[in-house]
Amino acid sequence: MAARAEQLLKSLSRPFIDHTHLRVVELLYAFMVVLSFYLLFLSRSEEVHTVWEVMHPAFIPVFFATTFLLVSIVFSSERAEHKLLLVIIHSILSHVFFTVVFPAGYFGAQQTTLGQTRLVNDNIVFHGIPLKPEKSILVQIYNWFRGVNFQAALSVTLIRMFGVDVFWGHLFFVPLMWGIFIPVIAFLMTSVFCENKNIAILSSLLVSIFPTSIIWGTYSIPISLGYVFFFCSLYFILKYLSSTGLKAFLLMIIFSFASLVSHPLAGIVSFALLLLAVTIKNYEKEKADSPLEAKIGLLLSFLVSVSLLPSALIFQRVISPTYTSFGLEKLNGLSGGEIVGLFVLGGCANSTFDAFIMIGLGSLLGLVVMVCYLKIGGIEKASRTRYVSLLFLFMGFLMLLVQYRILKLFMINLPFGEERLWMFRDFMAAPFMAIIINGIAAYTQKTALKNIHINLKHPFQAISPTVRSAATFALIPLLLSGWITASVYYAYPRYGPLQTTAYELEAVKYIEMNTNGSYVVFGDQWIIYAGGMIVGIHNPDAFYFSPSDPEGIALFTEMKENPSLDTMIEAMEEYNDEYNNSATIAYFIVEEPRLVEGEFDRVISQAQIGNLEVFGVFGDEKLYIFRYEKSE
Amino acid sequence: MRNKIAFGKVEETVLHDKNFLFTMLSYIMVLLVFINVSVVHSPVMGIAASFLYFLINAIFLGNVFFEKEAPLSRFMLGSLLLIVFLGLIGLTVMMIYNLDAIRSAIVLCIVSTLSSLMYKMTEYSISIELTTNTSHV
Repeated sequence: MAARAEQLLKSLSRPFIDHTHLRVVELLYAFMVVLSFYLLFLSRSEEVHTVWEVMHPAFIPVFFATTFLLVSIVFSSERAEHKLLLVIIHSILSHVFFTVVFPAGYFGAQQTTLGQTRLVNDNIVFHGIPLKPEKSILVQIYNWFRGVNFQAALSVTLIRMFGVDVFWGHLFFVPLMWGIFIPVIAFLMTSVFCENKNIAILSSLLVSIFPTSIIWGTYSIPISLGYVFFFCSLYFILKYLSSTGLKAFLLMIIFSFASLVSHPLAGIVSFALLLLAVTIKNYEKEKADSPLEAKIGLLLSFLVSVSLLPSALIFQRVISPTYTSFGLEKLNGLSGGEIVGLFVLGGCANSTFDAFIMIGLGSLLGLVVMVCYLKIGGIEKASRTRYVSLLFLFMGFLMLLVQYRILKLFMINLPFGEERLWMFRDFMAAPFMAIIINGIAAYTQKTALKNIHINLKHPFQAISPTVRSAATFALIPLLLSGWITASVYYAYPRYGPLQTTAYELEAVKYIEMNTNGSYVVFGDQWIIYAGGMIVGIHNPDAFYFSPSDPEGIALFTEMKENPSLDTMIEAMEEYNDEYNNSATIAYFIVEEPRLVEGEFDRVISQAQIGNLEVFGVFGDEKLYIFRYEKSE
Repeated sequence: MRNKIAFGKVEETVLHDKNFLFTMLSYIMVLLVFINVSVVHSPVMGIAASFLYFLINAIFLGNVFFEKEAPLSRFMLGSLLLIVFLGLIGLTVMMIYNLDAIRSAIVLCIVSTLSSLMYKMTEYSISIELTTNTSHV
């Protein structure tokens, strides 16, 4: 019996999967990944609201099984580089749902950015976006450094290099960047704190536990690119704290600047952390000589770092028409208890239990581990530089918590949701999540071994030790893969408008292919988004009104109410006067799913009575294009 | 292990080139990209040329800035830095005029030259400060 116990203990002391079975598991994982991509491709739909509406029923179970296999490999004795490659593949899979399932990615900002990238790609725009340079040099400089220009420049350079279409190149740009580089940076960042490569690999996988990390990696918009470069700058700040050379400093500056030109929010947070890092490094040098002065300097630097973002938002009005200000309006009508709750818990105060588990728990666990590490000071004895890095991350995390509360409670008319700060927080928490989960896994393994030992002494009193050990050892991979799958399910919206349809894209492509000369299109915002993606935003030769342009909305409403040749001529002339253009062709597009019931049939019959020429019919007669050409 | 050796050999070959052969190869890739954008319009040709371009220049940059990292991390960080350089120089060229096929090729040439020069500088220890970086991590 003792020999059997020894044998079992020896076998269980090894990693989760025996090396001989590893190749089989890896092959199985590869097969499951291919199957997941295939199921995702099968779910592609022409008319869709959310990814879950059309998702293949087998996808989620297959995705869960794929993740389970990956977690098992992560806990195995496989080489770290191989594990990292497998994590990257999984990460790419998690971020391409919108691009693969929807005909034109998620609606809105991503499509507008594609329209702007199209302008650069087709050489329509000179000296960057917008089309017409600003009169004020200050505003022009601000525009150059807005994320859209950097993203367009990078996107177009890569698109030209790879020789791919700008439409697909843009849609896959951020999901691929995120899928490839975020796990790598998470791995490297965790390596700063832990020599154990398995924890670092676990961290690269655990970034996917945060729904924010899934969803921001799916849109090709400047802020998403900003997050990628922010994460890189965070890693290089940590390297700067632990090295003495110029190289780390240079890299820190380069990546902070890259995050600034990608998106001002990412850049400002990045530079706030950079300031904090430089002060912490000075604090470490000076604290022996003048401890009080060093502490005051650190405190002041923390306050400046915290105030950098709110100040930037206030001063943005100098160069851009924004009206952000400090105010107590958000606190009006709240009870004392609610205000205290918002202060202490932040965004979690009003969230549901499942939202708290999905959005708040990961970062909370990360913070707890960070504080424990800092308090125990175990690292301090091992390496001073690691302690400094830890102190920096803790102060950075604290800075984000304070900034979030300032934005949430004391600032009004923000140009973006304060929840965007959560992504920065989650990036910082990921390594510590990995540390605690690895600790739990190790504890479970130890407990399992102990139980097996006891069971072998009393074999008839308990269930088979092999069954028990297998169950215990599979528990952590099961829980983690379940959490990651739930995170992916939670991250992608379950409600949404009808996305840009395949026949809308087809219609605007048809117009572009079959029109000679300058034209203007009157359509709803969905047609405008589709048009922007194919011909570029505000292209003077193929003009689609902006969805927020009151003139365009008024003209389209007029066309809908009274669709006739006279209204079309009038609308085209008004457009030519307003935009100082000379379009000779006008199109009016109307589509059934975007109108209230019965309205579509009325518009079509009235347009035909009003002598409007039907130019094309798409999507099983759901979309009509009417055309007018000015005669010479 | 075989993969590691294979990549190590590629890296070694690129780095031990004394006659700027791989820098020239990188320029040839830029020429191929330009021909592809202007005439051929083939993603296969574009991906093949870009892959080689990335491989050469990411190896150069990786060895300038991240020589102490493991090979895969070094290559990934080198690629990331290459992407940042492409973006920043592309942005500058776009601000000056625009980013048509010729100017995109110029961006690629500038980045390639920069990567190669930086590597040679580090190799011959021209920049003393850059090479004295010591990481305690």
